[in-house]
Amino acid sequence: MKYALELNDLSVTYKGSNFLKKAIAHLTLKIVSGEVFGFLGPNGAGKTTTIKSIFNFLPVAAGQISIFGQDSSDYSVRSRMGYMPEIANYYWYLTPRELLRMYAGFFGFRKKTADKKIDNLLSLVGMEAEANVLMKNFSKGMMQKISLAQSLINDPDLLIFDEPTSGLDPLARSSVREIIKGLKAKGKTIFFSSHELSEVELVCDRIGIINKGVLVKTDKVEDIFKQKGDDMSLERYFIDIIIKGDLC
Amino acid sequence: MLIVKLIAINIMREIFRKKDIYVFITMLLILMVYLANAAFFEIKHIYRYMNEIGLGLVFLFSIIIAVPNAARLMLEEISGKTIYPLLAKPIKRVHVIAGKFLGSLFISWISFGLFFLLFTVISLLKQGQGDWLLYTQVFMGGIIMLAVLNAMTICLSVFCTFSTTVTLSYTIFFLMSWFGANMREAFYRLPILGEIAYYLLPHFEFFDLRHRLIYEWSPLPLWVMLSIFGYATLYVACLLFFVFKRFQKRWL
Repeated sequence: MKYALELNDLSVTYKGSNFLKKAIAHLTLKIVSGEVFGFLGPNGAGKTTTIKSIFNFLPVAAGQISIFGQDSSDYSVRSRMGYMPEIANYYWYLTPRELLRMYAGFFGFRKKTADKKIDNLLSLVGMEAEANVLMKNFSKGMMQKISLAQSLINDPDLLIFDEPTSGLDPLARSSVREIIKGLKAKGKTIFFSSHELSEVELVCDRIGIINKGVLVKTDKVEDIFKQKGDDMSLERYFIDIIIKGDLC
Repeated sequence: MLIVKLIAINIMREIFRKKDIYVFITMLLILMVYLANAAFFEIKHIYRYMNEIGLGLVFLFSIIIAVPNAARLMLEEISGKTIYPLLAKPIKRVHVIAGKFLGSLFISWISFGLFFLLFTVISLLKQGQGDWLLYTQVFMGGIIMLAVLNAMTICLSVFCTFSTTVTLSYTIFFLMSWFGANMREAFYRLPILGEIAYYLLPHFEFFDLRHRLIYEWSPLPLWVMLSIFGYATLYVACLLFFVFKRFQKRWL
């Protein structure tokens, strides 16, 4: 089986001047190429920390992270990755076209190729009319759409989304869901963290639940419903695991 | 190199869209035109006063633009969280540092270049003639000074907050510009500290060649200019190495 992302016995510790906090403890997770994996957990569980470790934003205390078989510290592997951060902040003094052109340049795209890609992406996220408007005038939802567009600029094989639908209205949320489904149909691997359990239920093949830095459960979405019956919602499943403990 | 260039261009776009630089150009233009028209009591060589005040303003405005701009580059990238999508692309942290440094340097050079051009035109119009080599040397001194000042400010910004960085940068700059040469004498009660400070802090007075132009002294020999350039290059390289070492390990 080919894995797009492998976390082996990953531990991350936050060190302060007078504290030491284990944010992630012995996390082992394998994401198969082509699957959509929902990474769930309450606030402060370690979802964003895990994602930050994948991109080497944080030093890993122990364990290994490999992406398509390459060590995550090898920056060249990022040419196959796309990332949509939790907080969509971009340079306010740029227009979406300028921002995406700069990011496309990092992947070595020429202006003509980049512009074609940018037009397609902006149309995909419904922002083509704002292509040349300074981003200082954008709402949170609009920034989120630009964030999604920038994560797709290099046509990545592995996408990592941190709360991709936060700040979006129901229409935009549904369009993000469609985009994710479209990416899945193209065989892309998607790893995303979310609080929107209904979203996760609709798009994910498999979910993982993390609590207090420990991965407590991984399961296929269809298996959850098979085992627990039709009246089981993902939200109830999640609450059961986190608060009451697994029902099984 | 393309990555570094793209980051640098992005920084330059910001400063020109913020429009601060245009305020300084307008202020300098007004002041220079006013000075050029001044004819107090028919003082002989009044252009020297104009050159002194004008050059002082050129350097001062350039420093006022350079320091806060360089100080916020790394800090805003991190606090604004724009660093995440940036470093999620196939770029290294060293590219970010190089891009930030070059971006802030070009902004400083462009603003200094514009101010200096304005000064030179008005100064030559008032004087009627001038030594081009002296003008060039003063300009080169300013360019080199801004490179060291930018590197020092970026270096401080990876260790301190924005306000501390700006305060420290201005303090070191003005202290060294005014008292750098006499530093060891100033520390006569603490000679070891004086020696350390003398060799550790950047000697901005080396790059300030304004008086040679104002008092019409002869231009500096080439080897002196090359030595100044060598000193600045070494200093910038050391400062950027510290930035890299610090930023490489930084948690984001």
